[in-house]
Amino acid sequence: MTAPPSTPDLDGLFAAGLDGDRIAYQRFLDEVARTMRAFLHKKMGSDKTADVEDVVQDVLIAVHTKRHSWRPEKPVAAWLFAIARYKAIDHWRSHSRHSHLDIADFESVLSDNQAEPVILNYELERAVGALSGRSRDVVSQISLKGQSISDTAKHLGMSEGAVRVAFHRGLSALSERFKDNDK
Amino acid sequence: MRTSQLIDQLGEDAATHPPKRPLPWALVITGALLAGALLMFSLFSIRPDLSRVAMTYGFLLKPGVAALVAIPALRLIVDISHPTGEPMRHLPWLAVGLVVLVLGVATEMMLIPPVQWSARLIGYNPAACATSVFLLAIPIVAIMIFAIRQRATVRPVLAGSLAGLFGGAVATFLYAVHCPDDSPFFLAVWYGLAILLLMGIGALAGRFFLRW
Repeated sequence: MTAPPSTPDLDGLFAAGLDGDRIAYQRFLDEVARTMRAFLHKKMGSDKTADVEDVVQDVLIAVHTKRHSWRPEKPVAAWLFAIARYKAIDHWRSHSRHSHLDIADFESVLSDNQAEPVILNYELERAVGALSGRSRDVVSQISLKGQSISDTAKHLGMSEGAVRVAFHRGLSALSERFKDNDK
Repeated sequence: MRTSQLIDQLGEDAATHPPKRPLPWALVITGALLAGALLMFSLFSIRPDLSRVAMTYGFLLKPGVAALVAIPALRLIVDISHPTGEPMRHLPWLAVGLVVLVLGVATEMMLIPPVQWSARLIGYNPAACATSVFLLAIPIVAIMIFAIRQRATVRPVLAGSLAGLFGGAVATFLYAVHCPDDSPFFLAVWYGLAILLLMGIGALAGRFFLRW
């Protein structure tokens, strides 16, 4: 990550990003991630690094899919904070309900299967099952059940953009997981 | 996945997919009112004695209170649909409709002898009235929830119940031209019951459809 300027112009970057400036948009998201990470570390404690990164990513996706909901007359920071608070509460709620799901369990499952040269169906299903909630639903709908993006969006009550993002996110997580496994 | 990868993907997505454009509120509200009015006039007739009762307090209270509830409810919905909106600031305006309703009930209590109260409260057909208001409101509530969903509320349950309140108030306004019962007692209890139910259903719908 390149060193961001000391006082980044969030409003300017975001406005340029909305106008189609991809570099500005990514710098904006970078800045959002950096700010959120620092903020959440302070709020949740440094022992929750994995959680913090989950929330940071949730916030980034939310900011992206709802980027039309920013009103130019309001400061971007206030809008960001509202979304971040909403997502952090959401994450905390769903996390306390599914706290028995642990990535360490998943990794031990994979290392047990290291000798296998090919990805077996049940492995794939298990790996998909271990993805985070949104990605898991989307990947299993599209890849395992063979549904289209629009059907999945309807089925899960998400926008197509959100499905696409969750799908990409899930697939990269899977490919990274299985790449590590091959080594 | 690493966060930097996610940012790359989001940047790519932003470059290929322009941000969504929610339906403007003016269009949403026109659509909701039209849907309600169409349903109303295809299902129910205008009461034959409308011109005779049009200037009585019992009749006027119905569309009056309904409008006094619908307008602030709409203001709240527009505000709550936005992450930085401050809907609570406008909440007290809802009390205006309530106060007018209470004044109407008090007027009725002064003008009508107590022996007739229960008859006025029950009216001609309370079940049909509550059911009709409820049904008339459903498409309006659905349209409002759809519009909120296109935006980004951070209070999904409250937003849903406000959609229910707005739908119920508009349905009350419309149904007033059919309903033969003009007692404020009747309005407070049976219309109120339908609206409370709509708010509950709206809250539930908000829980499921307005989270993101």
